[in-house]
Amino acid sequence: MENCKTIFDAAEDVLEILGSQRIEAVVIGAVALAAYRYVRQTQDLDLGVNANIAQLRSLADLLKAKGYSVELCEPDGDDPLGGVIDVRGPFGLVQIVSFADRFPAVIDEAVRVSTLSVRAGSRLKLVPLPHLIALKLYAGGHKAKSDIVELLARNPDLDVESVRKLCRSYRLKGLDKLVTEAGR
Amino acid sequence: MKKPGEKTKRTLPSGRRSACADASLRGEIDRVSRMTVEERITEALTMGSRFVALKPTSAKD
Repeated sequence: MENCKTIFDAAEDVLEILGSQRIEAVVIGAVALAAYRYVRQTQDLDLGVNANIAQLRSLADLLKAKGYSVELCEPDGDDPLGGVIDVRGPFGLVQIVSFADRFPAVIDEAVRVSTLSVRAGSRLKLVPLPHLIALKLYAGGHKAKSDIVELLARNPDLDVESVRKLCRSYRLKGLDKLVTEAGR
Repeated sequence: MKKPGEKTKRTLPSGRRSACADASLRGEIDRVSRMTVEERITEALTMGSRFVALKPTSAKD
């Protein structure tokens, strides 16, 4: 529990540093899956952002100056992600995952329409469920597809048609098969 | 044609959804639905430490 509080605190600190560079973020990954009723073990908290390489380098320097252990992984031209910064400490791992120049629209829109936060009073916004599904569909692979099936099965109140519409707007394919598999 | 006294071969019921596994999943979904967002996230982040005793050990130990 203590570690958990600490990772929230670290992520909120990272969010403040992102904000100082005018970079907005939403919580994605396994923490977002847990928020939407698919609870599985995770030791890291992922923040989805749109930051180009120059911004990521600058962020990495700022985080190092704040005392964090930081590793910047820069993408090659074919990478579906725009870069990842691993921020480590006694709290665990906070990952900053950039979708800049790849799939920025989903992060921009998620930031804009997000209404949930990770805990009361926190500025750590959670990616909305339809956008989380879109991100998983973009990621592809068996694990991401399995995550989508679980999310659909565990959120019976979710308006599947709105998810279809969102994924179509992003030209993402493959949702219908997963909807059928989830028994929706 | 089955001969008198011949046992019926039972095949494994694979490729079919399990009703009891579905019922178990529904129970888990109900449990998680009653939790707050913060409680769910906390459970995911602390799961590793709660089940640390289940880490595999060598058979020689």
